[in-house]
Amino acid sequence: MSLGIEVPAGLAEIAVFACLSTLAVVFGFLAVKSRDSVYAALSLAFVGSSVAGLIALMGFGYLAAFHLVIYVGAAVIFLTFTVLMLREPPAEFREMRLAALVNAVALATILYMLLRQTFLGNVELKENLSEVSALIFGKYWLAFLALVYSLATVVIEAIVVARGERR
Amino acid sequence: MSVELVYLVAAILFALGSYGALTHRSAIRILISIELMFNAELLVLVALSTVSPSSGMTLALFMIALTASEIGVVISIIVLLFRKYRSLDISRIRSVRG
Repeated sequence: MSLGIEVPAGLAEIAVFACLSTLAVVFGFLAVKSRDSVYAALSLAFVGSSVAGLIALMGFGYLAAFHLVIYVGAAVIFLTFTVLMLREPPAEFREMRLAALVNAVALATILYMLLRQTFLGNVELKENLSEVSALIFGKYWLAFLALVYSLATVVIEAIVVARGERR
Repeated sequence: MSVELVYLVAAILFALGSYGALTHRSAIRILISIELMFNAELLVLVALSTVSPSSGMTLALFMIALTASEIGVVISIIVLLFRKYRSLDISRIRSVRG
């Protein structure tokens, strides 16, 4: 259904960007400050989803889908189930709060200032999947092999951990 | 869309993650905070991909897949530590030797 209101493309993009970045920061804050670890893990899933949205907005649709499926859909949900199973009561180093806050503010400022130096302009990015696949199986074949080995290691490790329960 | 604003979001997320990693005692909460920092790094990597979009995307794909496997490894260690110490408080965990 159309309301007959035409929103300029640039304005819509800015609005979506503002929503996604606000969501990322708010859920990031909740991931750190939630008392319950389950809510913290779920907030991390929302941060991952917002980041995937931002990546899609930058022109990398395939990468955003990959992030959503592999990272949010598999890794973070796995983390959430682990938190649910272990149910550890929350605990903090209270004496570290001030130092950690100062560190966080300084880190955010320095990082932003440094990254601004590498400002590359507002460039429209276009993903080229055939070029990416050629890079993965060509230039970066050794890194790809290492990645396959590391994923295989995780499978073996999961079996070892599961077998350890029976002893 | 301005890349500068993406840097700002990434810097805030990274700072939040570092705050969480320094203040929490639970190993799993520290992992969650580190994952927050990973999301910030990924945003910066993608934003910097204007130099070479295909190379940037390839590196980002590797980064996501490696982080997924890293979560698997760290969670296995956390489960084993929990079995041994009945707690995930890092101040109680003195050694990871079997």
